[in-house]
Amino acid sequence: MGSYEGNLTGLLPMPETTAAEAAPDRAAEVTALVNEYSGTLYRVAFSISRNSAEAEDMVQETFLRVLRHRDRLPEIRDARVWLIRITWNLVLDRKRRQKTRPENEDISELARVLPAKEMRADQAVIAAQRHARVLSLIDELPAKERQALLLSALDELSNAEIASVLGITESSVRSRLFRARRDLAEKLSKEGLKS
Amino acid sequence: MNTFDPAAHGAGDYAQEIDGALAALAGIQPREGLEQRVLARIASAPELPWYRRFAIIPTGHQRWALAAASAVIVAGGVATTAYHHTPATTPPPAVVVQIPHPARQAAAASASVGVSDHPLAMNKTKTRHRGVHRSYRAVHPRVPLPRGTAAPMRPQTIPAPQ
Repeated sequence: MGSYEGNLTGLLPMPETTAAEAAPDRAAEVTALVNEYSGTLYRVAFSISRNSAEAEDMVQETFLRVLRHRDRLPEIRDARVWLIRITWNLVLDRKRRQKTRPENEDISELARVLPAKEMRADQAVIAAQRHARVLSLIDELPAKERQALLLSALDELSNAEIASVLGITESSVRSRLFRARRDLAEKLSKEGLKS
Repeated sequence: MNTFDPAAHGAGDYAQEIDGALAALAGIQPREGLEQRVLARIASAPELPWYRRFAIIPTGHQRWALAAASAVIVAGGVATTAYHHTPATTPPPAVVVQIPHPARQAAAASASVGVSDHPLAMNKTKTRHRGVHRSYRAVHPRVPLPRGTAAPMRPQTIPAPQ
């Protein structure tokens, strides 16, 4: 994704108060963030919204916010956690406004990422449906446990980073993960859903 | 990385199922060209005017905090305004102390119906004002009753037994 690198500096309107020499640096910095973290932010957004179009929209919205607050970029210590936090809050905010779950969950997206090479097409669809069922049970978990579990699904995030995103302690993350797994296992045992 | 021992937490039977679903979620990949679309969107985004930059609050709880802070500021302003504001009303009337003239008071007392002029009579007007003015007493000194004089009878209020 190097084609846009540097091009953004001429396209982006810069605030008048910013020093002239600092403006290209900031724009290049935003471009670098886009190239580095778009995929991660997409997964974060998708884990909540379960909708690819909405997740992509959230990623774009995240970077729009970053652009508007680009003067604060030098103050940010961990850009990745900061970006994930922005996306996370945006998605939760939108979800809160929608009130209800979107009806168009992308099971096709799940089917697309499964190890399809080792499966036949029908097996992949069945596996995707099973995963979708587990994910729907995850959605029935209490919000705190559900959020910790969904963030833990992202391999990129450690417990400390999850704690930073959620604004809680690391031990709270561990206890929430424990409860989430335990409750989810209970739900699965009630459903008789076993591999 | 998250290290979770499912067997130690009672989720062992279903750990594979849970991990599979979470791994599927984590393996989601965006459509090709996400970065280009994001950069194009950023490049086409109009610059916000200065007053709208302050309106961007990324999180829900920050929005609530801002609303609460605004409410506190407004309430404080209203309270301060109400404290300093003095309503445009008429000044309170001056307190006029009317000291009755002794002669005029004596005339009024004697003119009233059923009021005795005798100093020892049960005069309601006088008792209501806790005695007469000392200037009046100077003009009308108390005259002691002669010995053996009966005190005036109080009216009988208790009905007689049948």
